[in-house]
Amino acid sequence: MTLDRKNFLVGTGVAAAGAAIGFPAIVGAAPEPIRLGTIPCLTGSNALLGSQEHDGIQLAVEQINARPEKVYDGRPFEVVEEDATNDNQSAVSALNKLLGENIVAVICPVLSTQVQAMAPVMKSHDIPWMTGGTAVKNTQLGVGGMFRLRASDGITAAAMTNFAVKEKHAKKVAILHASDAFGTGGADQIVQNLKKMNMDPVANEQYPKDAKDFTAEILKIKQSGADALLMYIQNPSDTAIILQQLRSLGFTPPIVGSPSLGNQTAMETAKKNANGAYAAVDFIVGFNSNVATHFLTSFYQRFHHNPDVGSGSGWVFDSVNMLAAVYRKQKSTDPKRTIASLKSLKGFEGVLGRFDADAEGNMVHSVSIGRIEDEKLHLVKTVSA
Amino acid sequence: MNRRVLALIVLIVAVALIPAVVHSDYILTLCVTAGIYAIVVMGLGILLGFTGQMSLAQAAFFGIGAYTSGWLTTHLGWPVWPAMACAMAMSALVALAVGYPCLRLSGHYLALATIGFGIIAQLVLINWKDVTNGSDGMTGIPAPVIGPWTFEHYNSYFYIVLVAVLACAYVAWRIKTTRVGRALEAIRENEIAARATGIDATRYKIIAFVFAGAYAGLAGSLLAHTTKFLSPDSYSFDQSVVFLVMLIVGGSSSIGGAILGAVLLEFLPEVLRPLKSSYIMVYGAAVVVMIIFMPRGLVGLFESLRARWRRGAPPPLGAAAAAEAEAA
Repeated sequence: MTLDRKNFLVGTGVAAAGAAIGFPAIVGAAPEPIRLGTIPCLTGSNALLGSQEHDGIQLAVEQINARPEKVYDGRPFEVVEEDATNDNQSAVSALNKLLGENIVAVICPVLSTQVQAMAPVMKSHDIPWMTGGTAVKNTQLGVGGMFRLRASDGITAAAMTNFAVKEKHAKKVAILHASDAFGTGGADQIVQNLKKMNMDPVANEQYPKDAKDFTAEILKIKQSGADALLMYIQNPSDTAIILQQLRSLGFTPPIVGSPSLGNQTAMETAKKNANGAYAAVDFIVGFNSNVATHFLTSFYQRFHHNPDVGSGSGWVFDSVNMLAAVYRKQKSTDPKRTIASLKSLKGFEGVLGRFDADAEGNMVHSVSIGRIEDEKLHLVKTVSA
Repeated sequence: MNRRVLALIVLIVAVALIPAVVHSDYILTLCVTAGIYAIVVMGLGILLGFTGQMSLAQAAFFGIGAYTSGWLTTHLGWPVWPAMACAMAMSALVALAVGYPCLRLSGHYLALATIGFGIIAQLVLINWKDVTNGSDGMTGIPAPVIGPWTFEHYNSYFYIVLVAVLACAYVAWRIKTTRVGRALEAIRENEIAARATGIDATRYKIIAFVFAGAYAGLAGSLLAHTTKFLSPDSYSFDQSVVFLVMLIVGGSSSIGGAILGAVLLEFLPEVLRPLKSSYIMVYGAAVVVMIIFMPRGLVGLFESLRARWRRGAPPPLGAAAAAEAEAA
């Protein structure tokens, strides 16, 4: 065939048509990633929690993306991460930035105050919001797609109070808490539970943010004649310092703490000062499901340190896997369908146990009381809501 | 109309066009927050820059304004505008009550007294649960309304903040250029000499303190009606330090410097976001470098560069630091 003008035009026309038909198929060979927004506190005084959140998400995403089908139909997760820092206004800025990034769901910071500050923005976006913030109010903010993957302070505070009064036969209960939203919210819940038992705390001490000396608060608690101390504190380093000072000031009655007392970082920092203390926690190593055992092993292999399962890495790992399971089942990332699926979710097995959604979006309905010995928690009992 | 006024008008028009050009909620939120912080920092400028008195309680007055406005609109159902006026008045009143005893002190002692007041104010916000709702925070704060228009979205709220910034800048400029301003300046330069010339230094320092409180109260109210959520965490000593750094970086005795410092330090962390967790190191280093090499702030740097430019040859690289050192 000679290459005349007509043949050239036909040839190039056919080639162009072929390219036009084939090009989308070639482009389509790389399935579109599913963009997941996350806002951990990577800097500031809660960076320990934020780095755990970061690691938990990274591990879950790496494991899901390593599967042949990835999330579904070959679509991988792509994480878009913004630092919530340590203040509310920065968290709101981070959220606004994320919302311009074509994300389908957000894993929120663990601090309840930041979750509540972001709520007015969240209300105008119908996407799933996964939170580990335990303030009771978090799921009552009028945000349609809010789901909590940890036990609320209501459940934790009730378990702590019941344990101190009924199991440890305390008659004079003292409270020590941080002055942030987490600490005061939890302390209020404890006071309400004590009132149900016709009791009032003999001391209710709070300390300011970033305090490093708790002598005044501890001496006041000692002078109150307390026969049990309930602590509601978020920050693991605060918890470790308080335990050290309680021991050095000779405080001996039973101590029952919120989840940060059973936090791996707090136990490792406090060392023998934590021995004999009790913690109401989401998770205890050694009493876990196969999912949790796999998580613990793979986390250590990946990061060469142990995870803080409850308040740190566990709930975010579960969040990512829960979203992946829902997307896989419905073969879609449509946010409204996802919210509906999450609202009706029952019996999902995760690191933190079994998840069953209630009408408010609460997914966890029990906590465990553990006793600390040699930097390890030993299960005493499990308490359901 | 001189060139300076013309340049200012062009700048204001350019800023007013931002919501028409920028459609990102993220950028608009930052602009609104930077404008609100600029008002607080201008107030601090009247106290520190004009009068030479150090206060680390600006976040407390900011919080008092925010909570007053929030409480009046959510608990008593007041419209936003009178609540804003009351917020400003309440912060000014508290500043008067605090300033009266505190401003008999000066220097480090005054700074310590204001730190104490700031901590007390935050503890009150946390513990006065009937009014502030404690650490749970205050929610459901409404957006301002004018006739049929609700200023719900950032692109409309931007104009409220812009008008407030311009009004506050005008008042600050009027203070600076009148007899009060000259009295404040005299106190800043030498309080004993100022007293010797018949200036009632304590009275003028209290006036400056009240203005600083009123500015912070207005800004707090503006923040409350845009974030619609208040939490005591936002009104800590740390926040007062941030306001102080904004003023020093911008230029403490200049109104433009206060605005520039607030805008720069609001946007700088966002510009550094790609650095992830190491941004805080770069941010801190940048602030330290600015304070060391620009003791009169960004405005001082611009003034030095302009003066050198007018004198002749364009300034060589590194001239800025030398000029600043000379000026200092």
